Amino acid sequence: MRKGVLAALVVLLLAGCAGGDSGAGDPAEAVERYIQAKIAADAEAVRALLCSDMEADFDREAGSFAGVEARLEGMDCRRDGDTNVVRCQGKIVATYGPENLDFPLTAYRVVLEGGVWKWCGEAG
Amino acid sequence: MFFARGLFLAGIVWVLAGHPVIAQEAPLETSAHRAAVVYAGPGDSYRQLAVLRAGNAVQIIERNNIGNWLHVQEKDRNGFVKLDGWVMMGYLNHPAELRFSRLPVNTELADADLSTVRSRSLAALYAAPVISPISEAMREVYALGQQLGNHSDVVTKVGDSLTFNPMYLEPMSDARYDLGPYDYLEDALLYFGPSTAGGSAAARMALATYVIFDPMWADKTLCQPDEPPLDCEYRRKQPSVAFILFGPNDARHTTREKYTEQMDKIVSETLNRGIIPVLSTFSAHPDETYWQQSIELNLGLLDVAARYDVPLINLWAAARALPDYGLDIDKVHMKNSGFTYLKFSTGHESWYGTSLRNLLTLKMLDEIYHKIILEADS
Repeated sequence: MRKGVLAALVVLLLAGCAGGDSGAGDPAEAVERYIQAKIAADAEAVRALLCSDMEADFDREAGSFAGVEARLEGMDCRRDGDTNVVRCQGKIVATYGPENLDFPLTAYRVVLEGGVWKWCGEAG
Repeated sequence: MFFARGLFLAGIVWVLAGHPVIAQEAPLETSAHRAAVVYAGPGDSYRQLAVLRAGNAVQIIERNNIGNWLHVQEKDRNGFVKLDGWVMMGYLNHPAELRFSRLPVNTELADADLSTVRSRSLAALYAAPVISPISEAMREVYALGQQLGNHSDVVTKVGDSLTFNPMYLEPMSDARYDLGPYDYLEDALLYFGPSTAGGSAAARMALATYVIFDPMWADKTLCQPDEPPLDCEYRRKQPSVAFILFGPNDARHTTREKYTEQMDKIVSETLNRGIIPVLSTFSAHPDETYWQQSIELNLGLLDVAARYDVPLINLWAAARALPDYGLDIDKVHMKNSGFTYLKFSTGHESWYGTSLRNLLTLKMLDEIYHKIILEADS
């Protein structure tokens, strides 16, 4: 009887781990890593962090900042409660000739795929 | 004899009765304000015939379809033609009476003489007219746009820093315009001009064909979350015409195949919204690192224009005759005249790339206005 209860508890515990996101890391960190990869035109990292819904946009995402030198200023991303939205502060600054172009960071959607948080576009 | 005299008298009576008399206006006379190369036709690929010296008087015979090239003749003391050829408008003094609406237009000569161009790829680029004809297909696009609620008198611009430049297109909204001899463009200017004020959410420095679909590049003060710059601009303005130029940035890191693939997407999206896309080749400097790739992308653009039967401005070809190909010191951006309004009375279109581009844009708008919009309205 005791063995049965113990086994049931273990199963419940495992199921809880598999269904949640506690082992998937911080979604805000995933967003920060994605933005860093995107401005560095790091195709491999972009692919690893891009959600499956946006696979068709991979070339665009990987090449978007390929023509400019870009850096991050004051990036600070935090998950919006328990939602699938990560809000970021700070900006991307791209240098184009003598000019600086600012790209304010905004809110992004994240999804959990295969136990890993993926960036999935801007949040509406 | 009596019959002939009768006809003559009848003719006089007809004229006196108030019927219009078609008179041939005497050719206008002008002179070059600086030495000008005289070509065998209206373009720099035509054979160079001679140099017209500053101050020498010439008669203006006709113009090309735009007006930026004039056919002139210089005569000797006995009235015999000693020089007969084409000169860029900006090298000539403009007689006050010169009005292109009254000047004959040469429809025989093409914009380029391909027999003088040795390079096959350059010949292919020269072969495209500076202002392409407007196809029948564009009437349907315009009609679709009207159904979707697009504004017939609104135009916009899509592209990189060459297009973002406030001296491109936007000066058409300035009421201080001075068209000089290009009087025939006034109707189109008055119709579309006001809509050009205020820039475009789809024109930004460093934009490339990929980036125009990336919401991260959209102006967040104008565009909705997750809205790409192109969608944003078309939603905001609902234009009937979009002038599109990409290439100088793509040439640095994009292949011809990728570029044409992206241009296909831009053109498709524009057509689907009932907006007439006017594509444009871009000027390039042979001394610039990406010259060869620029030629490749421009050739790819000709393919895209042909595939969709959309209007094309061959800015590359038109700018060839300008100093430094119409480009600024960086050999990438087009040179501005410094005027913030349209000014074609002093020949800037023969010296500054941005002035030339504004002229060609207005010429294309004139074609669209008369061949599509006025006809649809009637």
